[in-house]
Amino acid sequence: MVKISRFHLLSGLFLLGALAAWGATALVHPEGARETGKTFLRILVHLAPVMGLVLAVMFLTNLFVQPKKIKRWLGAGSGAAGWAISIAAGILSSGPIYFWYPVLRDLGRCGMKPALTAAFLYNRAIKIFLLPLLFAYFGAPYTAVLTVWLVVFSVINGAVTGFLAGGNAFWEEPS
Amino acid sequence: MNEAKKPGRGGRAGRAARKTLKGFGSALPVFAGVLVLVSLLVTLVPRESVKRVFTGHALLDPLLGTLAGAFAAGNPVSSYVIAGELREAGVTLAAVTAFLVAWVSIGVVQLPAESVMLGKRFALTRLLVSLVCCPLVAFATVWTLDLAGW
Repeated sequence: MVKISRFHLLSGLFLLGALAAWGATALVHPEGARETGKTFLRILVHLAPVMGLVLAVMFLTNLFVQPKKIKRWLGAGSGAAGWAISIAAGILSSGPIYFWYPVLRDLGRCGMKPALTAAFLYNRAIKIFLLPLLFAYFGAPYTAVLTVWLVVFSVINGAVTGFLAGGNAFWEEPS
Repeated sequence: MNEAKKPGRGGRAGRAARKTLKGFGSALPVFAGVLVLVSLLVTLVPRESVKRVFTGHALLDPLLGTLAGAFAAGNPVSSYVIAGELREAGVTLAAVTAFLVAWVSIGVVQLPAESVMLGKRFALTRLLVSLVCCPLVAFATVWTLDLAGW
């Protein structure tokens, strides 16, 4: 008998659920479902380069970064440097947030603190390449103040999430 | 990460490539599911509907903006454009900021994906903490701007 891990079962069920929602839309609103298909393809084409970037980051991490280094840089004793790395990486990472989940899952299994994972994810709110657009809409003072507060709150968000969720985070769950 | 000194085909790079493809491949159903849900949301929920969420109440609107942003999906560029339109329509800066921050920092639509990949407890805790942070970031930003006289 073929064994299916909990992770694969859940991800398969999630995909089936999403497809079921699309199917249900096709029954009640066929035109909407067709448009959804076009949107899906448009987003997929648009995101292809980001998929490449994420694959490259995963490959380079697997090739060069050893678990003990992850533990030292992003683990329990990483201190301020760990926070700085997570904040900078979160700001610089591009593409949809969910593309980074496999990278974070890998890093978590190697000892990255849940608090730093949460800080990384929160800092993705700062879209460095879109700052000129925010500037154009709301001005320089607003852009600067909001960016600083987002960084401050990423630390608060990370610390609180890590404190509340850390004991049962993803790297302790069987895959 | 790398499994040093473990024998296998293709050496260290080959092992890293196989591990990468395995990890990325196992995440593909999750990516596809999120993309389907985002596509449904972007197509079926008109952008104009966001304006109807706000009431004009100074304290309630940032909370409503947080919820609207949390359930929204799509390119962050859209959030800036909608936020600009909301501001022009007279929605308060705190509410618009909460909406903007929620759009780019919270994604209810990808919560199932985050739960599968990073664990249910982590994903739910992060969502709840982020929901609380959004209006706080908005108020902090507006108060800072007011204090500085900008």
